[in-house]
Amino acid sequence: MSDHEFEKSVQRKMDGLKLRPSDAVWQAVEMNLYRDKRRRRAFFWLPAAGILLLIGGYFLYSGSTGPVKDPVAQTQESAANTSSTQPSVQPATRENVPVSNPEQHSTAGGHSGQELSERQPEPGNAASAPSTNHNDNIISNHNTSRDRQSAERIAEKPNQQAQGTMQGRVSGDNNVNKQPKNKIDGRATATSERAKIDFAATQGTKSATEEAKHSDPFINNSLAGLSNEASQPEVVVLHPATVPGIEPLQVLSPADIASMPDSTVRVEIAALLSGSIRCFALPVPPKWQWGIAGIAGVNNISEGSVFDLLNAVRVEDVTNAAPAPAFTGIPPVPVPEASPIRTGPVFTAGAFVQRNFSRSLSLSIGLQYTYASAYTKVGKRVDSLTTVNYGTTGSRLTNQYYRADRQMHDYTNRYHFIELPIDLHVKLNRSLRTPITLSGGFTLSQLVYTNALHFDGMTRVYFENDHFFNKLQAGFQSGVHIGLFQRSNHPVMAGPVFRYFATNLQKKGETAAEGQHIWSAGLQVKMLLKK
Amino acid sequence: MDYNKLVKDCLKGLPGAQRLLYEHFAESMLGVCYRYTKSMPDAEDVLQEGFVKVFRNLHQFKGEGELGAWIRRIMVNTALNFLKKNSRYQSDLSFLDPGLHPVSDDNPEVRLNARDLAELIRQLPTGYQTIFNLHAVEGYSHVEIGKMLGINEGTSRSQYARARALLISWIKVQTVDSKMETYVRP
Repeated sequence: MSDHEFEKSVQRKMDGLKLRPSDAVWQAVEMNLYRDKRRRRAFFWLPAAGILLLIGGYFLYSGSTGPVKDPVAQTQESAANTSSTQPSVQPATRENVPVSNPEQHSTAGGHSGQELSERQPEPGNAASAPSTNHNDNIISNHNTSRDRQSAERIAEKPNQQAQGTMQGRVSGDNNVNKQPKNKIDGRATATSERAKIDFAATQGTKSATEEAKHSDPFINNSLAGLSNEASQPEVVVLHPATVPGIEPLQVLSPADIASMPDSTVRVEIAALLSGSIRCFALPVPPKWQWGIAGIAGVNNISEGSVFDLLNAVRVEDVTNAAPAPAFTGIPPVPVPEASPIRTGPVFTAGAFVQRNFSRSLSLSIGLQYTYASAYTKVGKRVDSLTTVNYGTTGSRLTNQYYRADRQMHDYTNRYHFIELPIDLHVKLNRSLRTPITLSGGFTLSQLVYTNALHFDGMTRVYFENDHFFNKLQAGFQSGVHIGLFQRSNHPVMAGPVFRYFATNLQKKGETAAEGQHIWSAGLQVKMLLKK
Repeated sequence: MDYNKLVKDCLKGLPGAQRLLYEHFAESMLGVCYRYTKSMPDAEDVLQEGFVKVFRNLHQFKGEGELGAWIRRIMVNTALNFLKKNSRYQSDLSFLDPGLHPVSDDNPEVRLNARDLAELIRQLPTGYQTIFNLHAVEGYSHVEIGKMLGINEGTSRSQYARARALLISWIKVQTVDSKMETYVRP
């Protein structure tokens, strides 16, 4: 046999080697492709989020260059707007509640705002919800196993125990609810079955619908009833307020459930649809999450307390010199004052780790870099040795300063911080698709570098000296965030934030500074990298 | 099969086209992955990872060469990465055992079927197995193998020579055994 004949022979044989892979391989490949598609979609939205950030920052900035709007007021206004949308939707939801039984309606009204707002459909859910009656696709859930057992117990004995308790509770609340028990039971069962059916329609699982149809004669009756009142939405009757001893039930729309990231929920939904279980626990968020965060907005300096943000501020006079006295008989010479400080842009970028204590409470700690700036006007720059003053008696030499007369040139005071923010987050609503979170906390910031100017009121010049600044700044911040792309692998939280450094910007002992503070307002975007 | 159309359809994200491409190449590519690994689950892992890479990088396929050869290169690279990453293979992949096996210049006729031959190749130590596959089956030169595995050309040559000798000795034993079985049978 010739040289390499062995290799050729092996090559031929190996080229013909074919083995059939298991089906799991393709499933895994398909899953990866699907995940890629979702990731691409998320990345498609990232530029949009960036543009939103820039637009928000621009508006905040442009708004603050004129008469500066109080960022606290902005935040409060934003929160007020968020809350003001609730009543505008609520009446619509109330209208959706069938009024076939006024007494029952009055009972639902007894639980009023919160109950109804929990059930109200979100605008974003309309597309994924069934085309008709998307308000009534509600499935009740429990948070704990104890709740699950209790609910199952109640579900098994609706005519005996639960409804009796419900009646008792309702009467105990002095609500007039004299409707017959079987009316309530019938309605509750019909609604839960209807939720199953409607959810099946949402998911396109006709088999579940069929199963539900044939499972129970009562369901068939309910279906007949539903077909007659197809255009009349309903609301689930079972509510925690009516069942003592049970923790609040979470009421979710199918769109909410569809948006749940955890596949185990879908499995449990399948079990729910098939009737093998009556209720299930919501997925508990992981204990630890982390991600990246960024802020774009406006920055400025204030004097006095946090409530004096809108007052115009000038470059701080570190000598606190009195205005030059006017001599009698001589016309007063105009003395150049320190230039006013105007808002400048602020940018923050960093990462955070979040510890979830419950579905609605979490604490985050981060590490971030912040660039903050503020504009002022100065006169001509002079590169020459001169003596500048600070405090009451101090003076030092500097080889560069800016004159205070003819303040024609813009000067940017830049501050570079490394920060450690610690925030507490409280979820304000129960929506899984667009959660709204209120955040508040404090920040420790180390001023790494600044070129900000001080004003020497005695010689009327501006000069740099970062030694006069308090390098370690403590501040607090607050914000409201709205969750976006919650179904993606990298959910985003975006919203306005306000931050105020409580520490004086300049050292009081060393200079005659009276106390200036940095504050900023902007739009924050946070993205979870570990969901 | 019109591979260009299939690739275009895959790039459009049509699931049917992706499935078709997978089914067309999966069996032969599993054969490739099988030769580089020690177990079928590992081979399937490599196959899965390889196909994910294929679909992710399909836009890079310009249609200049053969699609099968392009996919095969991806599978081989994926298998090599798998071996490097996987701790079970790392110790065997250290190429630090010179002189363990004699060198042979034999060129025996290979009468074994593909599966049996693949089984013998898989029984080689991982280093030998990898270099043998890369040189004898894929046709890479020792210089290329050296670059791929981060070893020098000489090491690749010596490892290959020993792998070849070991495999030939096993093939001879197998062939004799099968002949014996043939004689024994009535």
